[in-house]
Amino acid sequence: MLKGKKKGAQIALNAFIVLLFVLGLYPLFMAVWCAFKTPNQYSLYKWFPTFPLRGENVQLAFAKIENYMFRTFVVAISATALTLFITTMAAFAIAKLEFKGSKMLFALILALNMVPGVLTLVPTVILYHKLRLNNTLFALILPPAFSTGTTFLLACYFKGLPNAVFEAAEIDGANDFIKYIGIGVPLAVPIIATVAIMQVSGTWSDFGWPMLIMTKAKYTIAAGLKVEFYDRAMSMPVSFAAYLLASSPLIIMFFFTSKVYAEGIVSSGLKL
Amino acid sequence: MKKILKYLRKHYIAYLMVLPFTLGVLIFAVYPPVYSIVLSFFNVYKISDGLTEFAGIQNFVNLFKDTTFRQSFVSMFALQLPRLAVNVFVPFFYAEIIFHVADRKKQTVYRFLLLLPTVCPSIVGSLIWQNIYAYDDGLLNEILKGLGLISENINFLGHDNIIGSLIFMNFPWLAGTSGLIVLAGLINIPTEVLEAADLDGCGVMRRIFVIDLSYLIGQIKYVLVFGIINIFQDYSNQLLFAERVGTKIHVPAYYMYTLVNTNQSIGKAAAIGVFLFAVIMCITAATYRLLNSKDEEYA
Repeated sequence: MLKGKKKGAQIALNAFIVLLFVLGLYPLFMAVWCAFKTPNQYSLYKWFPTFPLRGENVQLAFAKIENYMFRTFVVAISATALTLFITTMAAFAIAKLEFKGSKMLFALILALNMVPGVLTLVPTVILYHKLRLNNTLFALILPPAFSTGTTFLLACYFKGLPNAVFEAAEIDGANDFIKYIGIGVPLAVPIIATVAIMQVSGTWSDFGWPMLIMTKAKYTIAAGLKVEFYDRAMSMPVSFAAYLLASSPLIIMFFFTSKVYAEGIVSSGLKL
Repeated sequence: MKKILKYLRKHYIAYLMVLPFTLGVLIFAVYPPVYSIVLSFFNVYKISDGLTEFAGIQNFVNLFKDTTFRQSFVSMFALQLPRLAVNVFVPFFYAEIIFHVADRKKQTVYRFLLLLPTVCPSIVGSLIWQNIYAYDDGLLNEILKGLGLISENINFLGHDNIIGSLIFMNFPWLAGTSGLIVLAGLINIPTEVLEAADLDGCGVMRRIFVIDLSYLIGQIKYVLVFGIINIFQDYSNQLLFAERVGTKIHVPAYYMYTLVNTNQSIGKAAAIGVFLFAVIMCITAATYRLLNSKDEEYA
């Protein structure tokens, strides 16, 4: 009797969760099927899928966003590569190598983490203008590379690794860089992957900063979507095709990396 | 001198490893906040202007006389306080319901789906929701009409309804990252504790409030503090909707953004940043103190 009750409760719980997910993910599904509708189909039945599918929308949308997409690829990959190189190296040195100033650097990172973005926005814009980097790709690539938040996250992870491995390597004659590249990096793959995924999706989704520091012709995809499809009245199916195209690289990346991404988030969250 | 050389020879690799980061941080992370505070005390109008005219606290005085700025604070609380409630309650809610799913495989799928919206560009979600809210043929209007609840279409994105619509946007707010963090906290509660509670006949609701909440205090603190800071910092919806709806949804941070974007009153914009920074610092400190004193009570 009690078992039957529990089973019933589980079925109800699962049904409730599925309902929430259907509601929550419905906009995403809607984008998928609306991307393949004719204008006529769209105005009549936009809330559910219809056939035949119209592939033309995707072509039209791609022609509009091709430039933005390509630029975003370049920026996301360079920003992520540069960020990973600079922050993992510094985080490892701060967390695992004892040198005069390492504690001070860690304290500095902690303090800078408390500085909110609203305080730095104005002077950062001025700084990029002074360095004549505004409207260049550097204005999009450099900001994440010196992120104290990322470095803090990585340093905490490195601190959690056992010291014995590194001491053993030192006895075997490994220098500090070998310890980093040979032992530290391989052991930190989950958190490094998480940082990489967050960085790629951050570059992909950001539109406030690109709109501030770049001219329209050099926007990345999120800002591009805004000017091409929101500010102008475009055919809705073509807009949805563009939303779908713009999101697809991230969704594909997520399907392949969700496990390691989730692990990284959980491991950083558990230290709370 | 010799000692220093010897020390450097031993540790030079470590210094080289932190060098690029340290230089970058000094230029891009240390200089801006300092310069921001300096800037807020000068008369600066354009981005290219130098620091020539000292203004004292004039920028701040102008700010508080500025009705747009004062009004933007009101809009900010109207928009963000309900969102804070959502941001604190919803991750906890999703974590609990997913945690109570007995089937491990289903649990994994739910965790995956919970995280899926976080990688999708948020602008895409907002643009789709704009269609759901649309006046002529939006989903919401069609549903409400179909159910016979309204006779005339509602202009959800119009001046009168925009704040409610922005709060409700993305319903049911799949909680993503913070939901996963809270869930991890739940999974970490020792099973003995839960079994003992079960044996003592502790019901689900009582368990959630007595056991789970006390184990999750760290996660709740995290979600709360970030949520509070976000009240003052978030203007992503404004970037998208403010041009059409107007000042009704202007928040201080967005006001600052528009000043920079249109290259005017840069000193005033810096003053907004400094003021928001001061407010954020006070509130964060107060929150920490409040939460930590509660901790001691329990201990």
